[in-house]
Amino acid sequence: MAHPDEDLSRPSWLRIALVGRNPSFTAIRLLITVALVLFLYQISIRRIVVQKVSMEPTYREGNKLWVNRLAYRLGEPLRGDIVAVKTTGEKLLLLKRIVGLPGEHVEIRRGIVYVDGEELPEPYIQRPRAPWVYEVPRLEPDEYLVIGDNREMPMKDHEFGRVRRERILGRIVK
Amino acid sequence: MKRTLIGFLVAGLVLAGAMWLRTHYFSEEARIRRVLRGLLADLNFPAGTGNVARALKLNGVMDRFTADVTVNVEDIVPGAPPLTGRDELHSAVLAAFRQLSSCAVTIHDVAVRPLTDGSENARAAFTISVATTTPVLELPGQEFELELQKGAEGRWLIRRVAVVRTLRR
Repeated sequence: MAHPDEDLSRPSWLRIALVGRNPSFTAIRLLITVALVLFLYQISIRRIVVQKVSMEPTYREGNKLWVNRLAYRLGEPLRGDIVAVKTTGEKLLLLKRIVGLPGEHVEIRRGIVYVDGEELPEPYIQRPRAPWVYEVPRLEPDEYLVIGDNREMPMKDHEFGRVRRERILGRIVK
Repeated sequence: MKRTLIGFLVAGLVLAGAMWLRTHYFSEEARIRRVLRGLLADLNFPAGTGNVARALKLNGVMDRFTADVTVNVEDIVPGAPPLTGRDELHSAVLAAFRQLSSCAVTIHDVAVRPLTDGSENARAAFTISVATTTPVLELPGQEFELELQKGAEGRWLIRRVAVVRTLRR
């Protein structure tokens, strides 16, 4: 037969569900879990909001996207990937598509991109192309050519060009 | 035992506070960051700012450059010759302050290059975004690199300003 005082001293099921049998351990476990989640979030993904129009119509101003920072830890950036490019840090990022890979010769004639003399199929360009003319000498071993999808813009107003691998923060995931 | 533990804890906190103050307030890097923050504050003015306030801000801006400063912005203003000397820079900034009705400059990701103790020179890189009215001008993100020099009384002054293109053509 149980003593009535024992029942009173025993923690209720609600308390056990909320803070566990040992609240101190639960608090420590919770802190470690939060720190771990924040750390993993910090190293793996980054939330961004699109500003400006250089990636239209693929991404429009105000679109909220994620950058997968681990995307290129094991593999290399691929043609067609949409990537976030760092400025002096990570607060302001440029959002561009990779069209040229290291060692390639890229040329733009009347808005059409040619890689090593072959026309690059670009199904993501859905608007008329402005007649851009541009030629890049062969890309260096760690260099990529990145351009936005909005080729309707005048070339002088569109930020595009060569970027070093170290500047690529990660791949965009929607 | 408990007292010793508390003593260690307090000593640790004091040490951490002292290190924080040294890094964020008394170090050369912190001084350079303050120069940039001050410059930024003087470059910002809302619509309706009077002439006297603008003149004060202009003085504040010019006060942060060396007499032989060079400013090269050709990468963002094609054909613009580099500005050499504080007088040329003063004329250019004065013209901008007169022309613009408002100017909002935001600075992001300031990186001050490693300084050795006692060094008289430093480099800083940062990205700014600018929005002005009348005329409407928007620069969403432009990288700059500065060279700074330690002047009289230990004040850091800007000696060279150059635009850096994130994507090279």
